[in-house]
Amino acid sequence: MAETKVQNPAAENDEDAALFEKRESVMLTPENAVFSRSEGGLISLDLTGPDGEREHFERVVVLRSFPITDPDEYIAVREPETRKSRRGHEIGLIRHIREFDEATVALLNEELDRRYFTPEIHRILSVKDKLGYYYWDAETSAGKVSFVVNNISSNIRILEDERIFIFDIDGNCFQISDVTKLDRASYRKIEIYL
Amino acid sequence: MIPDITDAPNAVELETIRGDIVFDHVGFHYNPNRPILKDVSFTIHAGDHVGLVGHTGSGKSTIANLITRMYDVISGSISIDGHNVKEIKVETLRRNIAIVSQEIYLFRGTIAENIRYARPDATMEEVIDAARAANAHDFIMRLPEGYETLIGIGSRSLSGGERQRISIARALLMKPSLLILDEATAAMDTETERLISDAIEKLIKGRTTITIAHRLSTLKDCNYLMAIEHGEIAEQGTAEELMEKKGVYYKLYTLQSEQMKKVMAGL
Repeated sequence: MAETKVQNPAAENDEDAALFEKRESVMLTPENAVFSRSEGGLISLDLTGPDGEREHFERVVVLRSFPITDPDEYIAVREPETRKSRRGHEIGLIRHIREFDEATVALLNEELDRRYFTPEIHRILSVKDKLGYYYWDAETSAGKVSFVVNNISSNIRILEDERIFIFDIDGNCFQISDVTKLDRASYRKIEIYL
Repeated sequence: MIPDITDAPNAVELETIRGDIVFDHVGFHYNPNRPILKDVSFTIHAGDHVGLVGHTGSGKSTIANLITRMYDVISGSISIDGHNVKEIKVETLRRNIAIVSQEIYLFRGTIAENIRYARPDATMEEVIDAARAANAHDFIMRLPEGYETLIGIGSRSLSGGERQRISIARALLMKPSLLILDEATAAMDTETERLISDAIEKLIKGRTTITIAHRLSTLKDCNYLMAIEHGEIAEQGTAEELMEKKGVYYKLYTLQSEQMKKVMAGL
């Protein structure tokens, strides 16, 4: 049985070396990657290299390369950024999340949904413009929320499939899956910005 | 409005270019009273890495602009692979020559769209691979919307080094036959310059490359140098040969070494 290595990101002391000391990112597939939930509720990864060598990552971070248009493809799996290691190196990329079994898909999606928390706007109660800042009150899948949006032309993104993403000044993202399905009063409040 | 640069009626379309470039008694000016290049002749062989060195305003960047037909020569001729550039379709030149310069144009769109602009038929996997080779992938993935982050006017602003790495990713995706680096690492901090230099090394491999710089440390990997002064080739040869000549290159080298010593001494 191949030896299992435990990663120790704190081993990097030399800043210059750290700048270029990168691991080779690999394609992660069900054949070489096993994801599991750690006791502390984090996502762990057991990776088998091409030479059969195994590596255990106690905690990994999953990120979407294309969170808006391709949320299930090109998922980056990285080491976490810590004070000691500074940069969290990429371990690998998942081409399609659906390549993995149902339980793994659910595990990864749970983590991704938490990171890319995007409440769906059901009803817009009001949008008020004050000196270039837009104060929104809306009913969403996460309850009633108030948020502020600036620079409307950049922070309201309309996709070809009619989906709308609204980014507030705190970096939160809200979604309207189909603007045509909004009630008439809600639609009239945002029509001017579309 | 008719553009100044158009295809000649008999212009040829080349699938690829090798990168043999000949300047034959080339003259160029914007204003007849102020010549930029005067009777310039030189040959670059395919696979060469040539450095153009000279003071600001000496005519270095004009040479790049004439090769890519941003402008046409006033006198003399330029040929690529034996064809006069005026007889090569402009599309062939644009498809095969990439310029990485200090002035980077990013249009309003996502990062992925900005990289893919170099080759619209590229897959997203190729876009990611190019960004990775350009040392851009890591900073892109740190952005909340990753490759779908909007950049350009009125959107998220990127640092000079980040913008440069996006432009290098573009050039890598394009897979050009001829690469022109025009002061590509000027005005960068040391860490960013190292990341960019590392990315450029990958970009240069196997390509005819012309590096334009006034900072001589940028030219250390060139196998041939040409020193331009007042629109003329003042001298050419390897770095060692130019040092022995004690001419323009030697003066620039000495000046920059002294400046560096002063900086290191904290003067």
